Amino acid sequence: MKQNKNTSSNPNPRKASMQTYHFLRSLAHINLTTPLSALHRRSRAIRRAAYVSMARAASPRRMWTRAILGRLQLLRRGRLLRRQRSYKKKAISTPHDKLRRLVPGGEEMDFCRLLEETVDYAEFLSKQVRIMESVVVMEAESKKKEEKV
Amino acid sequence: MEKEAFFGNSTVINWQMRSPEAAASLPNMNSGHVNIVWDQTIDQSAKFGSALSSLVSSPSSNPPAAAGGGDSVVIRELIGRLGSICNSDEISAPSPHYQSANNSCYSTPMNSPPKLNLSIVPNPAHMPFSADPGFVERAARCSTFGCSGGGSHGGGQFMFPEVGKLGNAPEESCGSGNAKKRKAVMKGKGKEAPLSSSITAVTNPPKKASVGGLNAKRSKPSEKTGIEEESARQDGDAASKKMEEEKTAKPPEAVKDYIHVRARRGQATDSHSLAERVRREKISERMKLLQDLVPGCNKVTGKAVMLDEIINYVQLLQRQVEFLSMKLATVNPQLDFNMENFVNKDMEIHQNCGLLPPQPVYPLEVTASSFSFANLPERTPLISINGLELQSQVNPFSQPNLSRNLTMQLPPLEGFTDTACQLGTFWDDDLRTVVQMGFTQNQENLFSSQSFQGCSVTISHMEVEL
Repeated sequence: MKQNKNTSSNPNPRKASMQTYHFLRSLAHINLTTPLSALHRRSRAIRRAAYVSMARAASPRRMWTRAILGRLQLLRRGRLLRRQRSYKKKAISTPHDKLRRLVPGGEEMDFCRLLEETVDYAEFLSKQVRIMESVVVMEAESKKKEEKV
Repeated sequence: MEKEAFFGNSTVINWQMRSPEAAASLPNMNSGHVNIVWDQTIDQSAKFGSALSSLVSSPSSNPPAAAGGGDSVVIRELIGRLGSICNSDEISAPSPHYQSANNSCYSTPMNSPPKLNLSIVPNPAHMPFSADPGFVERAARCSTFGCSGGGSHGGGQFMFPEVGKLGNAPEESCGSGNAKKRKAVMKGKGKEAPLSSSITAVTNPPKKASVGGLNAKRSKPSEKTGIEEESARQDGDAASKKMEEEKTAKPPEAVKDYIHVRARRGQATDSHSLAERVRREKISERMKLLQDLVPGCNKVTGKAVMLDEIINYVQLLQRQVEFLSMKLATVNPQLDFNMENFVNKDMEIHQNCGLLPPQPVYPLEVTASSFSFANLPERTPLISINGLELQSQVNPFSQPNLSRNLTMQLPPLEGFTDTACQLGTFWDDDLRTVVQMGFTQNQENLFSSQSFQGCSVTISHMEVEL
């Protein structure tokens, strides 16, 4: 019964599984490349991996996916501008603008589109949270088991 | 008053003589165009028809009620004149008819703009005209809904000479059909009121009173049906079935061009408000979607509060991602080696087998938890589902008894292959619950093959539920 509910809430399981796939892959990559000592860097990398895996799994037509992936490209080229922050700060804080700042790529959208994107984005974000939680839980459990053994 | 004097002694000839003069004498009348049209109407009834059609086109381009009223006044007059020209064998007859028609026309704008045609319907002056075949034809022509802006312009100008005769508030009342001039019409009403009342008193008091009452009752017509109503009323005037058929055929064509969404009764029909309505509907639709998505948003009413809720929810999720990423950074893992291994292997396998990309996920997820033996049962069905080489995947873990168990386990699990996709989706959705279930079951007896049995049983159970 519980399973049924979940399947109905998630209409496109393949996308979600792509998301997990991407995320775990990049997680493995991060684990390989960055050492445990560089905690801050690691957490940032993992967070970025989470967003990117979301964006990869979602439809490329969405603005937010394009925004995330575009930012990633900029980052890879080392051209992520410092100016962006100041630009964000000067925005006025009506609820619309708050939402605009939350959803990636939302600055250029009209309100109607923004809501549409928000729906999609929130779906994927909640999925991502579930995935990450499950990974955390699994790892905790595995540790316990190891200790027991 | 002046008008009464003017039309009181009017024959057709007299009218013909005077009207250009009046047009010229009027200060606001600066266009020669009007004079030309005026002359044409008097000279030839055939050209009159074209003028009429151009006039009628104006209401279609000018939705507002007041404008429609003004234009319909013009139409009414024109129809009256047209009739008089068509029945030109009796010259003296049209003038009183015309007068009465005019009276009704001028009295109506203050009562209710678009409905004013009703006031003319009971008027006997028009009855003979409708019988005329030529008139019917022209009336049909006048129903063409050309959307030319010039039509409305001409209509406005055409009005002036006649109304100018009345003297009081002519330009505003007949005005070009802009919504901006509505107020001007309102002003004009006050001035016109005494005039029209006096006229009605002179000509036919009882009819006027009844008509006035009728109009007062119907003083709030819907804007949407303005055009259609007008055309319908013209139908009533002409009283010919031919025309009605044409009318019924024509409005949909005109509507199709720009209206994608139909306006309900009482809603505005101009394109801006239509677009705005569409946008609002879209927004509310998405709000509903978000309401379903965001927990605890169902009870909330009001867009602003809901928006706040949505923002909070998204923020919460983002923070959660942040938090979890930090956690993942701290916790971790000697798994990486194996994970990487697995990823590569899965990639190879899927390239070879041509399987769909989502499926490698499952073994991967298992690897995250695969260092406890408790998690193995979850992996076993998946591996069998994917139909991959078991040994190569299991080997990294490489406890001999485990691999043995797995191989033992395989035959019963073969049955799951056909339901691979279902299980896969389920797995992905309910990753966590399954994992927990697996744990609870396996904590009892970790290494025995019984645990595998139990897990396979649960999986089959799940499948049944699916």
